[in-house]
Amino acid sequence: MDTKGQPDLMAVGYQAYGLAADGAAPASGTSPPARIAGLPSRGVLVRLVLLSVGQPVQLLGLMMMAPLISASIGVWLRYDASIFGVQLEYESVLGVVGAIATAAATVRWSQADRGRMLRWAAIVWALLMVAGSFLVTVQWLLIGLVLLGGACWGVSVTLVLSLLAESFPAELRPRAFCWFFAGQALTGGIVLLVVAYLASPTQWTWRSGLLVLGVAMLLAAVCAGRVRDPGVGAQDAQVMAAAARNETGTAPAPADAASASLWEGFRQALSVGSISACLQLFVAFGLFIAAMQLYAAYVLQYRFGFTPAGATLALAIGTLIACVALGLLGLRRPGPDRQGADLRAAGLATLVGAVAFAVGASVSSLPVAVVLLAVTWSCAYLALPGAAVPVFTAVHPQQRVRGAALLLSGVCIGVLAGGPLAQAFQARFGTTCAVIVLAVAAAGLSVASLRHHDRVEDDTKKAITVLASEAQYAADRASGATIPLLTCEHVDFSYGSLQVLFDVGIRVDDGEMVALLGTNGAGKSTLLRAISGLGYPSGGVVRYRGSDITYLAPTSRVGLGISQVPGGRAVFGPLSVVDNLRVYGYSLGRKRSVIDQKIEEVFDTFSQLQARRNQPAATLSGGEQQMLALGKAMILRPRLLLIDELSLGLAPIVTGALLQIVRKINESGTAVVLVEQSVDIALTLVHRAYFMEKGQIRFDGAAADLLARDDILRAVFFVGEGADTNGSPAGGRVVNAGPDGAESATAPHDRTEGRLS
Amino acid sequence: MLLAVSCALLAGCGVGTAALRQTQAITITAPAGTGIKELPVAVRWASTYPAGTEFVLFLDQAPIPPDQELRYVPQLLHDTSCLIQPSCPDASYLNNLNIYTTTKTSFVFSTLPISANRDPVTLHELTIVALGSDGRRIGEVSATVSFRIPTADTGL
Repeated sequence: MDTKGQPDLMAVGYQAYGLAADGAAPASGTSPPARIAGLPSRGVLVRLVLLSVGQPVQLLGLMMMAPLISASIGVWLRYDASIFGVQLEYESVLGVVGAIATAAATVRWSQADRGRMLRWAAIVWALLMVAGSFLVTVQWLLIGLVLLGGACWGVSVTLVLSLLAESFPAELRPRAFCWFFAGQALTGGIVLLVVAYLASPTQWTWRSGLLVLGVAMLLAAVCAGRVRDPGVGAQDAQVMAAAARNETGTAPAPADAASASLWEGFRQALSVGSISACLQLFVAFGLFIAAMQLYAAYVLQYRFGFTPAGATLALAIGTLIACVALGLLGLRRPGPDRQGADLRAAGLATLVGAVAFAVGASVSSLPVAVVLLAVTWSCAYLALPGAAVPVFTAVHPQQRVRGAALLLSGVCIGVLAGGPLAQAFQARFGTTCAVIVLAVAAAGLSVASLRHHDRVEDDTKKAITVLASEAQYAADRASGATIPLLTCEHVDFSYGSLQVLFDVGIRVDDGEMVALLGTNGAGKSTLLRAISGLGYPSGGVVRYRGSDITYLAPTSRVGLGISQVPGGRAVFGPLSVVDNLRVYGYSLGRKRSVIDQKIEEVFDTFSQLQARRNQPAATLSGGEQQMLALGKAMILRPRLLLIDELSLGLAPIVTGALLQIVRKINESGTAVVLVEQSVDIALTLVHRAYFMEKGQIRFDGAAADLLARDDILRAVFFVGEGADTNGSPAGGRVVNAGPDGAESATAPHDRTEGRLS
Repeated sequence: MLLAVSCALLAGCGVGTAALRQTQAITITAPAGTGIKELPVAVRWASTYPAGTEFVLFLDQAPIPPDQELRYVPQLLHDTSCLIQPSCPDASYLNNLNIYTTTKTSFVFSTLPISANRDPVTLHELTIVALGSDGRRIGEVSATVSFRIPTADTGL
């Protein structure tokens, strides 16, 4: 891969993400997004707010209108406020369904126009409300309205947030999100005012209110027009790709062939550390939503004697105050490297809101309670931009829709957990206790999120590194440059809280045979697991022929041509030898005649297995079982074969015979990554080798060169874990296949610079 | 165009039966104010329905749906022992479920159900609907009032 342009690409990436350049040289011949100077695309912001009017109607309007509807059409669910709870639960479940369906649709139809989808969703949603205002006459129709509306809510939130992120450069996203949520709070306040009016002695029924809100939604959707979908990564990935193309003078390359599936994308998004903090805050927001109906229906009504109209009015005022606060928050001057601080502020706002909520539910003074209600609701809203923005910068641009779906799922989890939790505590210990429990839960989530805010910048830099690498690969592919078969870039891997790989980078070319060497526990087998998909890294990227396969399912990797011979005796013991081979053949869906032919080829190579073809594999000797494992790999004819500890527990003569087979497999064009503890064996066989120690790559080089360097072998294998990095032999090379060589923040050791000569 | 289509669809779906405006057929006049009440609690309402109209009071629960008889209640509860009797539901059956009937325009609660929650004050919500001469609820007309009483004060 041509890497000469990577420093420039990183600079472009840092600029596009609004981060300090970190010492990188300014990009030559490139410029940051042209609209970065002021708040661009105000029209887009207004359109997105207009297309989201349904969200407060569904969430706040219907929730507060529930008693009116119940009294009118006789919705007989359960006593008291469980009507609200049940409604919110229906909405939340379908909200998650809608969000996941939207994410799935954008995976299935990657070129789908999100702007068009959003507009149609808004129109359908509005028609649903208009129709609901007339047609809801029985309980199941109301439930249908709530369910379909909930699904529309999920679709809308997912599309709006991802479009918002794509429409604004990273530096301006905090402002755009602030003002978007301010717009939502404004519409929410208006919706609540309408509901408060309906709940007061008036000549209008809830149907007229729903009709008015539905027509308003429809008019807003029509007036908003179509929001242009700028495309995935318009403000960052596309800018970097264009910069890479400028460097190489090539045309745009075709899309990545191995794009992640829906769940792989979710897995990838969830693997980003700072996302968990954002999710925690959105769960807390869901708890606040669940708590608000409790507050309005009970604290204000039962304690202070508010009428339903008065309680709704108080909520409306609180929401409008949140609107003003968000508007003012958005006026702050855009600055670099502020997202971690914003996330921390969001956590603190949630904490303040939780405390205000608990105190407000306990005090006996009406003015204090109302003020604290406003504080609670404002804090809940104020936390949203700071908690949302990192999701769209720290994840890969292709995962932004899934990131938005995750955020909505977080809200729904909060609602689903908060409603029953509050009701359970309210029944047993009273309303005040229920409110305090919800407040404590929200406070706990906010405190938990505070531990992660400092990871945002690191996660964003990792995302930039990945994008720079992708852009470079795409440009190289377009220019016809050689693409490595496999690269691991900055791979971290953890078993639970125990991190075992630190910023690991390797590269394997087509047809090459590479050894991974190191003592027990160095992380060799774990690295193979990350490559084959048997485990997923906590950071970094695994690329196969330039495509990101980090979170691809292992079965999909087999289809791409990656196969692993696991350590130990990798056979199905109860199955016969021939059935073991056949199973692997079926995994590729080949015809039986073709599989039989392949099996005979294996038997030609391993004549010992031929004699035992119908014998259970468990009865074979260790060497024969390894032969069978290799035979399986031959059946698959992979492009990349990963072999873990082939010689383990075998006699040298058996090992020698097996290695000759490995050599033959390699000579037939299959690249091989061989994990071995036996250095002599490995280095006589492979072209290159990597030495691993304590989860890091220490050195790499050509096998012949390494064999001649006793000092390295002694340092890694004899001095072993006690080896002082600074005392390592000169000439070792930092191995990192990534485009920039950026250091991992989690790596515990310094690295030795230089290259083995 | 969308509005036109919506209106056409709605016109074909019996829009005319849905009430956009309150009829004010039942207007609750007492209890008034937002203070904490004491038992007995007197509920009074004004009505434009003819004298002798039967009113049904639903305490802390939703009323029966429009155009339904009171037999909807045991039907909803799948209470077959009640449904096999022609006279069911009678007043005592309904009272046990906190549903009360009267042809007057007032009702006095001398006792109230014990609240399930542990709050010192209990918020009660009362919904009143009217039945037609055929024993079915008249339209979507209802009136609702909330009142608070000390939880310990149940009158029992």
